[in-house]
Amino acid sequence: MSERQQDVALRCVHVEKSYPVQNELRVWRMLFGAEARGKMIHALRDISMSIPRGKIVGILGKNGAGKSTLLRVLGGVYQPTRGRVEAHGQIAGLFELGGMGNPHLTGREYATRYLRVMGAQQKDIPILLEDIQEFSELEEAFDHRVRTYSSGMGARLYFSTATALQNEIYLIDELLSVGDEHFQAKCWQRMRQRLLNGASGVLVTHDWTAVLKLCEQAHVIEQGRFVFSGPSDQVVVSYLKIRVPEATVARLSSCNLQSHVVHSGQDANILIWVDILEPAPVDLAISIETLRIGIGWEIVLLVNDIALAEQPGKYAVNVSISDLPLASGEYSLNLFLSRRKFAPQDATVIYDIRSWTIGNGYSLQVKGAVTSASAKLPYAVRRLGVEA
Amino acid sequence: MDSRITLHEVSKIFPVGGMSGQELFSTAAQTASTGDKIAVARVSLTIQHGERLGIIGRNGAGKSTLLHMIAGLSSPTSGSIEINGKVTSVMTLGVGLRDDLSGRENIYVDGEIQGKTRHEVEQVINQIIAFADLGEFIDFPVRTYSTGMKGRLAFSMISHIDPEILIIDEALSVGDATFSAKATTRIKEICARGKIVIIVSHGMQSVKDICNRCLWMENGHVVMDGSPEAVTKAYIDSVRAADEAQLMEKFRNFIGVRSMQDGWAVKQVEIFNGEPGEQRFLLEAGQPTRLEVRAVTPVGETDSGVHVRITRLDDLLIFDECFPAEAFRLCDQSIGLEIEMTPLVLGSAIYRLDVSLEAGATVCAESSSIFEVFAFNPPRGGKPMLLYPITALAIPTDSLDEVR
Repeated sequence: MSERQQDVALRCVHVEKSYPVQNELRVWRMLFGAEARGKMIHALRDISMSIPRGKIVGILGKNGAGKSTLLRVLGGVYQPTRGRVEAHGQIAGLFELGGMGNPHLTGREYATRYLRVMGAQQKDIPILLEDIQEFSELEEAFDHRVRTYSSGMGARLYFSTATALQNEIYLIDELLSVGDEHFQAKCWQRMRQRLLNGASGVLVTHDWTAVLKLCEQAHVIEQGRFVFSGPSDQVVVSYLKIRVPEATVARLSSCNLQSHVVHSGQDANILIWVDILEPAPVDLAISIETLRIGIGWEIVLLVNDIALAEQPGKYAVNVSISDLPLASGEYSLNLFLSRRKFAPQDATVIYDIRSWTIGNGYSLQVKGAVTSASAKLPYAVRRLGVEA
Repeated sequence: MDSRITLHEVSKIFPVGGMSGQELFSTAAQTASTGDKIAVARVSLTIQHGERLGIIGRNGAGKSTLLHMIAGLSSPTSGSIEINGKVTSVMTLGVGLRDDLSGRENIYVDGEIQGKTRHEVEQVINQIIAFADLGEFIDFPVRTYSTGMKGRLAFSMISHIDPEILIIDEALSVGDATFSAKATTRIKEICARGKIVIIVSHGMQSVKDICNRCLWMENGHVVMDGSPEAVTKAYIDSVRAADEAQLMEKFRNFIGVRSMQDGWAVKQVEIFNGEPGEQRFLLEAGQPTRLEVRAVTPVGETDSGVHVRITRLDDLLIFDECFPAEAFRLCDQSIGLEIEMTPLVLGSAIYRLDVSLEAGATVCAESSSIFEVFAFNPPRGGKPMLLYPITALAIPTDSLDEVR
């Protein structure tokens, strides 16, 4: 094995996949080994990528873009029409998990069968089963038949089973969006832990927040082609394709500072210039977000519907946050000017945006001592029984 | 004559059965062994004219079964129902509509079913159409309507045929805010004419807006009967208590107290939320919140500390402070401190609260518990880590000409 191969867990080169859709005489043609004919669907076109060891690469795409086909080709479920896939390690596919089991099996039987198929040692199986039962929180339902499970219970069983073994390569299809909030958090922790142990993976999803949280590098797939590849934040910008408003009614002035400095725990004042060009009820929404690619993305503060002004003019807008509850560090400051909503069903009219999601956000530097906590909550402490 | 409904000891029992073989012994065994499903248990009730009764309760509480019996769609297993007045019911909005007919044609058909002449229908049809506010869709087949549009048409129809007793099951949840407001006004008008309206709803606000009497049902029984304000409050409190119990059960592995060294113990950790401040595990964001810690540490241990951490369930550490224990020693030599957050600014999520007593870097005792934060009016467009106010003040500086 060359040096190069050790660094790459999974690679695909010029992969194409197409299927015939019109099935006139298709079975006969297949039987006689003739080429498929008729209308073809080109699900994947010239896909090349490599997954470095220890990393998860994200693939963002809308329904029907070819995400799931790609994952199946990588997993060896489908043969590519052209090109090749090289895997250096055992692959665990976290897709269509429900489809592979017999619903008449109990959860325990399903897990046992899966572990055997994946080549687990007989002596390890009881320990793994215990782990699966505990992680899935199925408790006694683990011994009930899978067909009596709710979809959430099924998803918990499949995830717990597929990730019980430390595999080398994980292929993940939207899976981390199942279950309740608590179970999702557990799934994230388990995936992170598997990564720390050197696993690699591919995550296909339409949930760009998942890509930001788990992947450093990502691709956008559209109609079977990669249309953009790069660091996850840039990929998200490309995927979201949020139209930059023309800002004909109100705009965030171009003379605004690109970077603002404030201090943790102190009153923060940020000066923003806003031009209103036509009479309109202009509202401001503000979000402050952390963006640590591959580690975490988090909206820390979010406030909308702040009334600004109605009349045309140049305005100095003083944004103030008392006792700034942010820990020191780098944040992205995002501002949205929109038409005020007088009733919930009023249409959303956006006048101008500064946001990292369209690649033009401001940055916010919070100065202060480095803390272990991710926030600086205001509080008062005193001895019990002593009045304030 | 005024409308009136009297229920006397009304029960409805559904036999459980029809499952075969193995199934009966495995999954259905639990229900089968406890006997039949009692949907409504000996409910006695009198509803007078002018009453707008709201029925609330969890799924499966027997609300709909009771309504079906009053509407005459099913009969009670035992007990009697006496009704003075003609009952018009809308169990599922839109069910009575004929898909291939237009909205206008449906109004005529429905009028005839309700025993109105064509002439009578023609007198109100314009009102119905105006109220439903469907625009040109009124002449399109009903199958082209959205759920909300069907709901609007059905409500307009039944509310304009002068119902004496109107029964609505979860109807007002369809339609948008404007239509709900119109429907509420309309229901109040109907009641003002001495009629009866009964609604079943999961929306506490709509019950408070529409009704002047409220019934809370649980397991087929009437738990409470009174003013909408009192009953909805009691119901919300009970749901919150049940949710708290569920939360504690689910995370019981996370909850615990340990002492690693003699003379060190976390005695009590309590969270109080709201005014006047009840002990809670389910906390409302934006309310004043107080954390009380009572502990025991050896007297005179100068470097002992009380370490308080709040970690969101996905392992994000949000609060991490250490307080010198000696500063919080009470007269009885124990340690007692309170941390006040006025208001609570944590965003909606489940959190773990860890309190540990430390001598230098050594943990001598610790306690873990769980709490959940919910918000009634979270911001649109995301789920922030903190619900914290930001203000912005716009000061005009120049005329527009100078901008350009």
